[in-house]
Order: sequence, then structure tokens, then C-alpha cells
Amino acid sequence: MSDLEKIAPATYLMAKTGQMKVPGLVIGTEQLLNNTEIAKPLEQVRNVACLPGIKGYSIAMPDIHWGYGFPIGGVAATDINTGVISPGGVGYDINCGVRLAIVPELFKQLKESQKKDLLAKVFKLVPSGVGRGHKERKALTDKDYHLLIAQGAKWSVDHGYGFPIDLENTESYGVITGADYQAVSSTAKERGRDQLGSIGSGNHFVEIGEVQSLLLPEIANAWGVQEGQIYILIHSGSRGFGHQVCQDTLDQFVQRGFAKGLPDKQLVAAPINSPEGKHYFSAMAAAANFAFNNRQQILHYVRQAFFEVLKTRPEEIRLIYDVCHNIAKFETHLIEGKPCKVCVHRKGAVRAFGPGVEELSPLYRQTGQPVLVPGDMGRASYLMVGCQNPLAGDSLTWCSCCHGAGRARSRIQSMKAWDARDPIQYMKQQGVQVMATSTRTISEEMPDAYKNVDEVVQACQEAGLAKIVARLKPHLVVKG
Amino acid sequence: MPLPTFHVGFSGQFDKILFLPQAHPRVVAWQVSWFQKESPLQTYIYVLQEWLKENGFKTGGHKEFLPHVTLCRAPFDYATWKKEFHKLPLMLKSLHLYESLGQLQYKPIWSHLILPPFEELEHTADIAFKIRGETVDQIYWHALTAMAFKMPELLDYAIESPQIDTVDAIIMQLNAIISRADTALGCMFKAVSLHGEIDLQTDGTLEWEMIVDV
Repeated sequence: MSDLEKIAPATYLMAKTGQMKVPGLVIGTEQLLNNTEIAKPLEQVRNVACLPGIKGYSIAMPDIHWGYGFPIGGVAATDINTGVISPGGVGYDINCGVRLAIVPELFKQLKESQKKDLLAKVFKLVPSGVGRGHKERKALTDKDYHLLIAQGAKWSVDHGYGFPIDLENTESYGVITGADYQAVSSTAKERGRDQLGSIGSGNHFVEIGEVQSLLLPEIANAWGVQEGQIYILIHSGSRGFGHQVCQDTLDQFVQRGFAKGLPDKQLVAAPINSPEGKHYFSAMAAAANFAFNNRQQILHYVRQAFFEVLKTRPEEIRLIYDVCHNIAKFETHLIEGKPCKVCVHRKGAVRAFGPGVEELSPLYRQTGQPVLVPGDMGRASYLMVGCQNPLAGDSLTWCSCCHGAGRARSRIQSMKAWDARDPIQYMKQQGVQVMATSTRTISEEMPDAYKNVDEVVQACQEAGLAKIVARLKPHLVVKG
Repeated sequence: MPLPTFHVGFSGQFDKILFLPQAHPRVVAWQVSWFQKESPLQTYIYVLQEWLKENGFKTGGHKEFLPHVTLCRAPFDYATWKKEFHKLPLMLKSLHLYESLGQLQYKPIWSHLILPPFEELEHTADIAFKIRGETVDQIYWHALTAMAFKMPELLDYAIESPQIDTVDAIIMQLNAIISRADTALGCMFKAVSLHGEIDLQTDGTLEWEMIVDV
């Protein structure tokens, strides 16, 4: 902490030193930042500040932890003319993100048998775990790929997965423009062919719970969110398709020598306007659109589960919002009084646009966009509202916010801690029923493996990035 | 006792089930195949056998050494053992010499520790290993073995003699394996990251910190 200077509530400056082109900016409370695991991620913040064309600050969110190249919870914007685009600033799981939907029923009205059946049904309908896709479905054809890459989530809606209104309530309306089928390798396409509509593994999940409390009731009411309602939270990304796009790009960039001169090879990046930079963006957008389709289809299956168990009609389950938390986007921000286009890398960070931003749908233009922050499966998740405007020129974080709680413990530590105990039984005693294809996954993902999300969101609120609308309590969880 | 010339242990896999001796099987065993074709371990075994002979020990002649691990003794069900066999990785990190006293009695005579080919390290978000070797090629095989300890099926997607001369080549090869495995049956790993260089240690061995995104 000694090299950080507090400049605003929950906002710390890391002075420009050595090869840094800009200072660092760390969002967090003193308690979060006194965590000894912060040393390596802060070193990565310094490294990111060395990227050519970086503007403003190299930013770290309060859920920061050690990634590769960029820290997870890292944000950086680069000039589109002189700057670079870095796959490390997006991550392997391109457009990993979260979506939140609300069910009209109250959670407390669910009988125990219904909760059990609902969990089992979701577990059955939504493939989870390593490699598991929909084996009984036809694999994606090349024609399917052409269309879903170009259209984003609209492709899934057109094929009966969800409703057109879902697209209005998805970041960027469920599509990143500029995606190119030709930019994606055949290996990536093969990896993703039967993975659409599946959660994947690791920390991905489907979570069902109760809207526990409203902290901004007027915003919640505007969004149709009421205390006690059932919510559905889905966390997943672009699966093997996106991982391969990232890998192909990293291999290419390293071979072309783009890592030379960088403090960390994992920050390898190409000039945005170079053929390689453009190629990566097109492939990244393709993977992002795959991920939008993935989450759209997962929600479809969860809606199906609700219908089969509770007879809730799918159209009654409303998508509140879908956010990306591993992405690079071209955005216009006011810089030194002028609107400037920059490439904003958000790796484990979420866009948090406030009221008045043109890109948002009419409802969210009035209130600000929802910001979704999953915690761990034991404590809470949060619904927040963005309050920064890119054209106001006063956002230090390129209108970004945290994306989750951030791991506090390694997987080894977590496995050891739960080795002699029954994690499923423990969670049941805490009021949370969990299912996963592997008990190992549950042990790795126990609540004590994560930072306290309450502290993380409080830090974001204190720093003015977003405001807490509602606290969500998980009760039924399918882990990847 | 002659000491081995190698400082780092080896990795390989149990790649075949054996019923030994072939003529009248009395035990079930798993055959060991080392990933390095001309393993210094084999040379050391010959050196050791010669030394034992010179020092008056009976070594059973120059029978070709069959690396294996015995799992059970008769009686056993052939069909079940065959059906349940799956390839598994293994690593060697110590050497022990026993004297066979007959009647299934073995007396430990000598032990020698060698550096493990890999160790798992703490990493908050991903999985990390310290990989050791004495050649770059060995680093590759030991890195693959480290991952295979978490997911044995990966070994089915490795090619026999990859061209490995740099850490970047290692990473590309490992990621190609992950791609093949993920396409075929799903893989718990996303990719091996571009982290780290292979460092020469003061004892002449090589080390690489490998981080695997999960």
C-alpha cells in the first residue's frame, strides 16, 4: 500500500515510474488493498501502463487478482490511432459475462420439493462441466457459424431461444459489430461446435435465488425488480471457441515479434490499425457474439426448467441485463474536452454506463445500465446501476466497474480446506443447494475461496463507479 | 554405490496392463513407458547392475529391465483388470534399492532422492507448476505430465516426437494438445499462458514456472 496515494474515496493513485506511460489507478478500500496477495496484480497494473498508446490510467478494480498480462479486474484504454490491442486485456474466455433474469414468483413461496426439482431440472437441461455440450443436439454447421457470428444473440432468438426483447436488455444489443467468420480458425470452430448453450467448467454457474433487499427501490421499481422475487443469474462465456481465438492470436502475435520491448510477454499486443490488430478484433468480436448466443440459449433452457417444474411461462421470465466482463470495445469518451474513440480493454471488469448514454435502450438511458456483480455461492450477488457518462469526461475508469468478488484463495488451498469435510452438506446447512458434475469443483468454489463481495461493491459505490440497487441471495446453484 | 548422473526425476505413463510372468501369470502389473526415449535411467540401471555384480550380488543376469508397478497377486480376474485399465501419468522422484529375501520379503538397502519433475504452486485464479528438467525437451514432457496428473486423458492427444527447442515451442505444443482434447472430449484447461522463461539453476538443472488458465 505504501506506493499508493489516496486521491478520492476508495481511489488510489500509483505514480508513474520507470517505463510506465501513465499512472496506475486502484479502486478499493484500505482493507481490501492490505491483502498481501495484491503485490503481483499491482505489478501487472504497472506493466499494463507501459502499453503503447495507453490513455488515462492503468486501472485496477477492487476484485483485482493475478491474471496473465493484465490483472483480472484490469481496465485500460488505448488510442485507436497510436495504440495497441492486447488479447491479454480481454482474456481467454472472450465475452465471459453474466446475465440476470427475474421471475414473477416469490422465492419464499417455493416448496422444498419444487426447489429440489428445479435445481435438478436446470442441471439436466443445461450442460455443465468440462466439455459438456448438448450431445443430443445437432452440432453447429459452418452456415450456423456464419450467421451467429454476424448476428450475435439475434441468431438464437430467431431460432426460438428467447424473445426479441432480450436483445434490448443485452449489452450492445447482443452483438459486437465487425465480427468476421473468416478471421476464426477451423480449430476454434471445431472446439465450439457442440458447446453452444452450455455453462462450461471452473467458476461458471447458473444461480437461482431471492432478491433479498432493495437499496435503491425507485431504480428497482423502474426495472420491475421487487423484493422477494426469484432471480436467475447465469455466468458463462465463449467456451472453447473463444479460448482458441485467443490462443491463435497469441501464437501469431508472438511469432510476429509483437512482444518485444514489453515488460511482460503476456501483454503481447498489435497496433490496432495493423492487419494483425484488425484481424484479432474481428475474431474477438466473433467469439463475443458466440458468447452472447451461449448465454441466450442457457437462459432459454432455464426458462424451460421453470416451465416444466413451476409452469411459469417463459415470456414471464424477464431478462434484466447481460454484461460482458472480458472484452475490448471501441467507445467514444470525452478526453481533454474532445470526444475521442478509444479501445477499452476490460478484463474481469464491466461497463457501467449511467443515465443519458445514447447507446443504452430507452429504459436504461433514463436510469443508467444495470451492473451485475456475482459474489460467491454462499453469500450474495449484487445488482448495481451504472452512474458514469463517457461524454461527461469525469470517469477515471472509462465508465467501468468490478465484475465479481475475486478469488482470495488458490484452488489447492480451497481443496485442502475442504478435504475432510462435505462441502455440499455444508452449503445445504447454509441454505444453498449445489449441484455440479464434480465435487472437486464445489470444493474449489466454496464461499471462503472468494473475497467478500459486500466489500468489493461498497468500494465501487464509494468510488462513484456504480450504486447498489439490490442484494441477491443465492439458494440453488449449478456449478460448472 | 554409484549415484545417478541425473538430478531431476522422470515422467512417463502407465500405458499397458501386464499379467506376469507371461507364461504363468501370478501378478497384475502396469507397464511404465518413459517419455524420454533414451532415458538416462536405463543407463543407470545397467551401471548399477554391473556394480552389484562386481560386489558379489546376484542380479539375475542381464535380463532386459521391464519397468512396471505390481498391483496385485493371484488370484485375479483378467477381464475386469483389462476392462478397467486407463493410461495414467507417473513421475519418478526417488530411487530405492531393496534386497529380495524371498517369501515376499524385501529389505530396504539404499535410497536416493532426486528433484521431482514438477510441483504444483499456489496461484489464486489459475493453476501453476514449477517444472524441472535437464533439457528443454524434458521440460516439455514434465509440463505435459503435470497437466496430465490433473487430467490423464490429455496424454492421448500428445504427438510422439514434437520439435521442442524453446519455451514458446513448449507452450504452443501444450496448447495444441489442449485444443485437440477439448474438441474431442472437453478439457478442464483453457490454455497454457505465455508466462515465464526457462531459467538455468546453479546445479545445472532447468526450471520453468508454468501457469495454466482454467
